[in-house]
Amino acid sequence: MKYSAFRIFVGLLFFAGIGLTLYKNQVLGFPLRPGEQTEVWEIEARIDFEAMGEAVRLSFALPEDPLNFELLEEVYVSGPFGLEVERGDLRRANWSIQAAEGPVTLFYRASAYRETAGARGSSRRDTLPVLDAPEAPPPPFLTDFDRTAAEAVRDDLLAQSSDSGTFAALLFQALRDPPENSNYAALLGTRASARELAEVARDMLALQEIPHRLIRGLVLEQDQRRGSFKFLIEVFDGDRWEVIDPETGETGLPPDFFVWQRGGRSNLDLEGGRGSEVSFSFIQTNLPTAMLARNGFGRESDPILDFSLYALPIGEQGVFKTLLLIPIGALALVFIRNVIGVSTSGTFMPILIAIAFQETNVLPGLVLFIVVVGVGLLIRSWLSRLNLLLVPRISAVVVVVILLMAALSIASHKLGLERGLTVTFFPTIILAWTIERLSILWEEHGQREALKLGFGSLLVAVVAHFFMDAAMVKYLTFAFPELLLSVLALILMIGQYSGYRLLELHRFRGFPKAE
Amino acid sequence: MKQWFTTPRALKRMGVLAMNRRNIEFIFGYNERSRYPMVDDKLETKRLAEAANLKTPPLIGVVKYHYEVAKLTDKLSGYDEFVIKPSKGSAGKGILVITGREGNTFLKGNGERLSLKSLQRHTANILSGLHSLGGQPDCAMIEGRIHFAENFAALAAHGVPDLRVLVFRGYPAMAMLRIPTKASDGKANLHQGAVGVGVDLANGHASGGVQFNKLIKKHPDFDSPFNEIWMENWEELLVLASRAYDITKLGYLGVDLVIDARHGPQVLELNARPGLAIQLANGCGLLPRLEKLKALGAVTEDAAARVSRAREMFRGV
Repeated sequence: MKYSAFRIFVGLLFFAGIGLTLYKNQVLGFPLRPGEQTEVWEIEARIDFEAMGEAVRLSFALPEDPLNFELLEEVYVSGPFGLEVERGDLRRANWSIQAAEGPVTLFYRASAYRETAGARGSSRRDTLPVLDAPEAPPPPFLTDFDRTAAEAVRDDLLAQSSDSGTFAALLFQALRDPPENSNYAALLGTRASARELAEVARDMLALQEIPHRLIRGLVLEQDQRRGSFKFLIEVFDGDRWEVIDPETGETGLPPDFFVWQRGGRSNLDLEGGRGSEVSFSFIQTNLPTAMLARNGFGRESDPILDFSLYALPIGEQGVFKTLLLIPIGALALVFIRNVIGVSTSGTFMPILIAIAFQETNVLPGLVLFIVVVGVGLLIRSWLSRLNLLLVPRISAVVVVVILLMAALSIASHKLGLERGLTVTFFPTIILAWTIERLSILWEEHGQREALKLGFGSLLVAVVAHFFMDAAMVKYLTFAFPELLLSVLALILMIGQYSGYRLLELHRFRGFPKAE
Repeated sequence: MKQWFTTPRALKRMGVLAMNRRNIEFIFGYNERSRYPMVDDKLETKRLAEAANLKTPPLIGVVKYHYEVAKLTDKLSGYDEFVIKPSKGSAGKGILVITGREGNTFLKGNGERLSLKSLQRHTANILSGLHSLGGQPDCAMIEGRIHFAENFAALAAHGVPDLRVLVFRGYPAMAMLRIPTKASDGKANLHQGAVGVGVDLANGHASGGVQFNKLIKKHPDFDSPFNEIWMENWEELLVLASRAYDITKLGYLGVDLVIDARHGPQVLELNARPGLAIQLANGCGLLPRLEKLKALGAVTEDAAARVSRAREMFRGV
């Protein structure tokens, strides 16, 4: 391959890895940091009513999806009731049963989260999706008494207002803080609750033929049991919809407001029962954003997710968690050998030792390794006098290594040093070969070379371990395995590095300087 | 103040060739993989050399199978001096030199006495692949010991020196004497403390030396300055080295030579991955010389012509 073609190929690999990672981060919402959390609310609606011994039909409006929150999963607790979920513009749960008597409780539970910045590239949605062109509301059903009072109030408000926007604003202000006027007192009567005020407001808006909708929702402020709906009214002021809180007169959606139902029919229709009551409880939990992302945030999943490692059974995922770290160790090894210039005994021995360090931690691991290899070398020097052939001799070393590991485990267990038990994580065969290689090196090239290679290997193992052990690296390699393409590109690049190694600058330091 | 590191710029200016570039540009670029066995298997090298009439130490015998180890004395009968070495050994591993014999007791070069049993063990180890690359099974070669020419042998107090010539595309590019020392236990291996002494291609005169990557001017054992050394049979040595290219066609080749008292220069070993210390020994980078030789175009001359061209080219460089 031509060098320029090679460079283009390596560049493509590198940016493919980075690009896929950014795609998963920006579009699919995988966080780049481990432990990033998303606020998830568990919202439970409890419906109680008294069944009257005949067929019961109950229709309950479900939160619309998507509004300002995303739904993760929904659970229905139906008891003996049959359940049919009606999908369409308005979702409703329809429970029914042939006959029932006495108190009945049904549950609907949903977990919902709000998308944070970054996920799907959208920011927090504080506004509702735009609705189609408004229709004029039907005239309100009012008693003559109420109608007279309402018309008087309307005329009073109209006198002060210029358009439907100001009319609505004045109306809500008047409802919150009624002027000293018999018409207002007659209109409100004893009605003072938020829900009743909202009804009065809707009647008034209908009377004036101003398009409006009722919004039912929950204020997710803290964990709550037996909470109830908060009512907001959306008014069309001629150009656009504006959300108004009839209790405070504030416009716009309140913070942390979970919209349950926007306009539409009643919230609960019940046939064959009475005394129905809906109450809500909600608790906030935090889930790792990565977990939500790999479930596609409750949406239809992206093909990239279907082919990610998260699609594997948990056991295999664990295997890959370790496997995916090996390339990182290999990158560290390649860098230290070819750019820095440290030589090691056995090409990949340091990586395998580094993997063992994952279990033993560095210091105990180093101590265990040096003890096993040191004692192994002593025994090996005795073995070398026995005139053994190669394969039997290495096999003998393997046995010795296993005996040493057993002795170390037992001794450290008895001494209460449980760390010592982790010696079993060292790969036995690798230890045996390390002992064999170092021993031959010692005999033929002297202790200087043997120590140099031994410590070179340990140095690489420790450095590789620190790279592989970083929580960030562990997380990134598993959540974004496509980063391995970039790692591969880096390894290929170092493979073509023809410059000086750092230690060669030391080796050739005595070179006579050019004039 | 002692300087621990030099700069890449200084090395580049000196044209120092380093490991990465040697591997990528010269070993991968000029040494065809399929030709490696010719040099990695010394038995093969010896056969090729003998066929091409290149002088090399005589082959006494080959031990291929373990059952032959018990009958090692049969092969050794009549020989008091010999060398046992692995056919596929690397970096001088597993070479045993016997300089004398009393019945079944053998004398090593340093006076150590070995029983027949330890000789057999050494041979068995060789067959099992202890010294070969990757531990693959190997065979043991027994070859005649070289009676070193006096001037040549006198260079070392322990063991025997050899001459390493770096041959690039058939042209000698640089040469170095490797002199064993007390520190290297008589082995001509620079890693173990042997001294490398640069030899001028043009006239065969030695210049400075290097031991453990440090520049030295005097022989560490004799205290005599290196620049008093000059090589006899210089032309013959270089031509022999260059001819090694003709039998292997390896473009970047290290040729190890020794001088026998009666038979003159001999090829001891070939190496397809020659080391870089030769530059330190000569106080001179390889790159400018290799670039010049690269520019020569296709190799058509015979070894003698190549040697005289290279000697002319690198005169006083």
